[in-house]
This record gives sequence, C-alpha cells and structure tokens, in this order.
Amino acid sequence: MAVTEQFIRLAADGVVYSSIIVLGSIGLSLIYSIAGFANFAHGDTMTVGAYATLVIFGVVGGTSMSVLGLPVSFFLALLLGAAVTAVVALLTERLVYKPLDVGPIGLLITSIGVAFVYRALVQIRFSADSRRYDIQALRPIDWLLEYNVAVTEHEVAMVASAIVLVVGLHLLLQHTDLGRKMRATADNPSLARASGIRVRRIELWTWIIGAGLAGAGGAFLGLFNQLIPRMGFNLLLVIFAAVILGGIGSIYGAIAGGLVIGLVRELSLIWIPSDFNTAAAFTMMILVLLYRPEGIFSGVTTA
Amino acid sequence: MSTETETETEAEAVGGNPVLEWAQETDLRIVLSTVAAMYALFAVLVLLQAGITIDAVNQIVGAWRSLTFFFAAYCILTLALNLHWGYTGMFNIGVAGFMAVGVYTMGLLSTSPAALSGQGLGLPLPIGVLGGMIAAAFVGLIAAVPALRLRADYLAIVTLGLSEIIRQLVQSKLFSDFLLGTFGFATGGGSGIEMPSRPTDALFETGFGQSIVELFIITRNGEEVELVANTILRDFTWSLVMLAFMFGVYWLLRRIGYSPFGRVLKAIREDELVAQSLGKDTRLFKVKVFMLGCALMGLGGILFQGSQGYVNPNAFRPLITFYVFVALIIGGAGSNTGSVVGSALFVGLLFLGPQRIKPILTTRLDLPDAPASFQEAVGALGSADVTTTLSYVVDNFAPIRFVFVGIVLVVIIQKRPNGMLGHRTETAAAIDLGKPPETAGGDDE
Repeated sequence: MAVTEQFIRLAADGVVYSSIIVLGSIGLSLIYSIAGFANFAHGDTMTVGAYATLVIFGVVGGTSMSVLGLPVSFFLALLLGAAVTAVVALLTERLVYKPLDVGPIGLLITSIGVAFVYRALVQIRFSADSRRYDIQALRPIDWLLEYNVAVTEHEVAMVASAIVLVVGLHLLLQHTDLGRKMRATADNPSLARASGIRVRRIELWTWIIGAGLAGAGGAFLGLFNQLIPRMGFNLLLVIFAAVILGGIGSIYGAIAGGLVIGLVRELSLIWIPSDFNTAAAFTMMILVLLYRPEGIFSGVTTA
Repeated sequence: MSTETETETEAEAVGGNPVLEWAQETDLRIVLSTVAAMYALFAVLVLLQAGITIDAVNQIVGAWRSLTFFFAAYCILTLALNLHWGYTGMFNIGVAGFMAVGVYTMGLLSTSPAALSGQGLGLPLPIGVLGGMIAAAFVGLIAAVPALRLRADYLAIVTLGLSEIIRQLVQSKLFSDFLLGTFGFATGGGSGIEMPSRPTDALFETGFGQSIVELFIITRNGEEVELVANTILRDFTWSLVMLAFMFGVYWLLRRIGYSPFGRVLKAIREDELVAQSLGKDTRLFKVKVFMLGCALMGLGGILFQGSQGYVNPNAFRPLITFYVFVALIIGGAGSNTGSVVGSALFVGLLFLGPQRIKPILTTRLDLPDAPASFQEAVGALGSADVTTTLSYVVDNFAPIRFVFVGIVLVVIIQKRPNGMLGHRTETAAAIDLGKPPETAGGDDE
C-alpha cells in the first residue's frame, strides 16, 4: 500500500481515537487547574461513565429510530450516563477530597486510591469479563472505503458528538457568566475570589463538566472497543500525555493535545511496529514534560 | 483495626495501657510487637479454619511463610521508596518499572540459555543480581538527570510513564526476538521469562538440607508424618534469606540517615534552596540518592518476583507501586521504622489477611454456591437469604480487597496523614502531608 493511502487511513483512525482522548483530557485539565491536583482517578471516571451508559441503555432498550447506526435511545443513555458520572464525581469530591487538608501530592495519592475503588466496584458489580453495548457492530462505510478510509457510522457519530460537546464547551466558556468565572478561577484563584467569584461553586461546576465529558468519552470508548473494568485506567496515561502536550490547565491546549496524541499514536504505525506505538506516545509526553513543561502551544493559555 | 481506630493522638490511643506503652518505648519493640502480632493473628486465623489438628501445624507454618515472604519483599521496596520520597521528597511512582529492570536484567544475565521462554546467558547468580541492581540504578540515572528538576506531580507522571514504557517493552515479542537475534538473550515477551532457581533450593539437595527436612518428620502411631511439607520448608528458608537482605537494607538506610549525606537529603526535602545556598550541590545528591533507591527497588524486585522461577510483564503493573505506597503511608513517610511497621501491617491486615477470611467463612458457615451475578446476590438479600449474598461477597474477595485498601488509604490520609510513626522527628521527619505547601495556591475553601 502506498504511503499516502496508509497515511489517510491511519489519520482517519487517529481522528476517531482522538475524539475519545479529547473528551477525557478536557476534564483532566479542568480539574488540574481548578481543583489543583493531578487526578489519577480520571481514567476510571471514564470507566464509570461507560458502565453507567451500559446499565441505562439496558433499561431504556434500543429504539427503531436510529442516527448513524446508533439507536436514538443510546444517545439518551449516553447523556444520562454522563450525568451519573458527574454525580459520582461530585459525591467523591464531597466525601473524599473536600475533607482532606493536604497538599496536591496528598490529593494525588488519594486519587489513586479512589481510582482503585471505582474500578473494583465496577468489577464487583459487572465482573472482570468484557461487555458490549447491545448494538449491532457495523461494517466500514462503503463509499469512504474507496478513499481508503475505513470508518464505521458509529465512529462518525462519535467524532460528531465529540465535536458538538467541545463546541458546546467553547460557547459555555466564552459566552456565559459561568464560563468567564471558570476561566478566571483557573487563571488565578486568589484574584478570582477577591473579585467576588464564589470559587467553591466554580469548583463544583468544574467537577460536573469534567466528569460529565469523561463519562461521555468512556461511553464512546466502550462503543469503540468493549467495556472492561480496566478500560479507563489503560487510557489514563494517554490522556495525561494529551493534557501535558497542550499545557496543563489550558482547555484548548487539552483539545489540541488530544488530537495530536491520537494522531501521533496512529500515524507512528507507519514507521514503528504496533508493539511500541503507545510507548511512543508516552515517550513524547515525557520529552514534552522535560523540555517544554508549559506545553507545545505555550503562550495561548485561554482557560 | 489499629490503623483506623488509633486516629487520636498517640497519648490518647495508648491511654494507660501498660503493654502498649512498653511496646512503644523503642523502635525495636515497635517492630517486633507488630510483626509478632501479625504472626499470632495468622496462627489464629489458620486455627479458626482448620481446627486444632496435626495438619494445622503445617498450615500455620505455610501461612507464616507467605507472611514472611511478602513482609520482607514489601519492606525492602517500601524502605527504598522511603529513601526517595520520605527522605528526599522525590515523588517516584514508577517503582514497578525499576523492579522490572532489575528482575529482567537478572534474568537476561543468569537464566539458563536453554530456558523455554526468555533465554539468558547463564552467568552465575551473584553477577545477575548485581547486574540487575546496576541496570536499575542506571535507568534511574537516565530518568533522574533530566526529571529531578521537575515539580513533584510532573515527576510522578514521568516515572509512571517510564514504568509503563518498560512494561510494554518487555511485553513486546518483537523486542524479545530482536534481543535474541542481536545479543543471544531474550525477554520472552508476553509469555514471560524463566528465572534461575533460588540458591537456597540447592541447600536441600545436600545432606545438611535433608537433615533439616528430617527435623520436621515425626513418628505418629507408628507412621512417619511430615509435620511441615518439604515445599514450605524450602520457601521458608528463602524467606529467611529475604529477611536478612531486609535487615541489610534497613541498616544501610539507617547509616545513611545519620550520616552527613543523610542530613543534606533532609535539608533538600525541607528546603532545597537553603541547602543550595549552604553550598551543597543538591542536584548531585538527588541523582545519587535516586540511583541508590532504584538499585534497591531492583534488588527488591529480584528477591520478590525474581525468586518465583518465572515472571511475566503483568507482575509489573502500576498496582504494585500503589501497594508499596500504601505500606509507606501506613507506616508514615520519612521513618525507616515506620516503613517496616507499615509493611507488616499492610501485608498482614490488607494484603494477605482478607484472603484468610474466605476459607474460614466457607468451612465454618457451609455457604451455598455463589450466585453468578450481582443481581442474584442482591435479590437473595431481599428474601432475607444472607448466606447467598455472603457467598457472593466471599467469591469476589479480590476486588473487595481493592475497595478495602482504597478506603483505608483515604481514611489514613484524612485522619492521620503522618501514618503510624511519621509524626516523630527521628532520623527524618515526614514530609508534612498535613500542611499544603505555599505553592498550593491556598484556594482550598
């Protein structure tokens, strides 16, 4: 296969994969900048979203009406699943992180504990076996195959939904009162508080938005692969890589970083065997941390 | 459980109990009484399960064997992590990666070339062990030189990333084939690598070893009975070797702690700038100590994972790093004695203890077959059928242990962030988890 053809095919895969990474990385970056610590439970928050969607979709059941090969009820289940994830994250914040009087490292360690509790609870409830959503798997779209792009309608739906969510977040950040306050708080919490912003309330919204997006990302990850209790944790370092690439704390950086990491991970397959492509993404993350800890898009910190 | 109930200050917790007061007088007494308590606990747990029979002796020794093995293993790893984090304030969460480097290098050097999976060079074991430690230290050097100037949370991500890269590298069949073709040794990829047999096993082939085995054979009703099974004796002997290594590591770290070198480390942890202005090249100190800690983690890995005859990349998932951290936090970061006590408590109460509950419940309660799903288990609870639910719980002990470990960790950080002994200003006080550093931004409302 010619290199350009391979390039196009892998780039398409990369965009699909990126859409999941982006949904995870936004939340991680938001929480990093506003709650002030590296949340190692974020990957498992995605797992929670995936399984919450599984349960809700099981209750709602499939509908005959479908968009892009997905029943409309799946989108409903996805939104409710994201809401459940947000509630779980809020409860965790309330019960675990809030009462802690420790620095960012203490919170980081605690979040590792939280990650294990999430995963173990999922495993107790659903067992360690892999699950799938009750949705017929699709073949790649025929007319796109002519251009060497092998994506299914489901994957198109994932990318489209991710774009809708990201644009929605952008509008929220730029054009609403809450968005302005969030950006102010992320930028300088003390100044934000001095200006009369209720920082605590902003923090709670951060958890809701961050975990909600992670929940949606987890549901898409479940659709993309399958559901296993370790699915989110396996993605955690890739998400960290995206956040670091974009500059910790920058939401737009996280979006761009997610795209770059997803593309790098797939496109690197042109040159290196698949045994090493995840390792390549991690190596890139480490190099960025070492030599450009402010991220590759430094200077454009918008939020 | 002591870690949860003793949340008050020590004076209150001890509260006029003369036994506890006596036990807390010296470090040696603290360690010995904790370890003795764990051994006693396990003996009781075994007796609860097996009843008082002649076979119980074998089972108790078997339980003590596992306890000793994991205690020594986690203790070495925890002490090494304490050197990084407790002494110098370097937040390394790549312990599993450095263990993997140690174990795999040892395997590549000392495994027999005729091994089925993962061929080595067949060099003598001491060379393998030393080589493993040097390799771990060297990887530590590569990580440390650029990474140690990073903020603590960035260092955490770098070390975790490094440990996952290492794991994926040894997981790779391609890498293994490449090594085999180029250097004549191989990691074996996902199917793992064979490990050299333990040197203590050779002892049992000699007349001296046989006489040890015979010590435990008694004559009962005219028949010769093995009081303690041969395999348990072999494992136990190895565990004793590990204990010896553990004492060595403890002694080494204690010496370092009291030395001028150790005082600089503590100064770095408290305020690196001050140490620098006093003319200390803090970077050099940090690199040295990082390498030493990594070498000890490699050693811990070799004694622990490398002594099982076989190891595969799954043994080096980040989970094991997390366990070492839990042990360190229980004991209190910054205290070597705390690391020992924390490891004993972690292994006894969290790691091995819960497994012992399951056979007790199954033999004592005559539980029905576990239901296949969570729904059935909860449904049974609705119809007042507690045993069915209980048997589901018993069947899912592994994940429940995770929940338990996670909750204990959160409770300790909430109620007693300095762990059992971290509050003491001994050789090194804990880095204070209780107070957020100034750089935290102070926005915790």
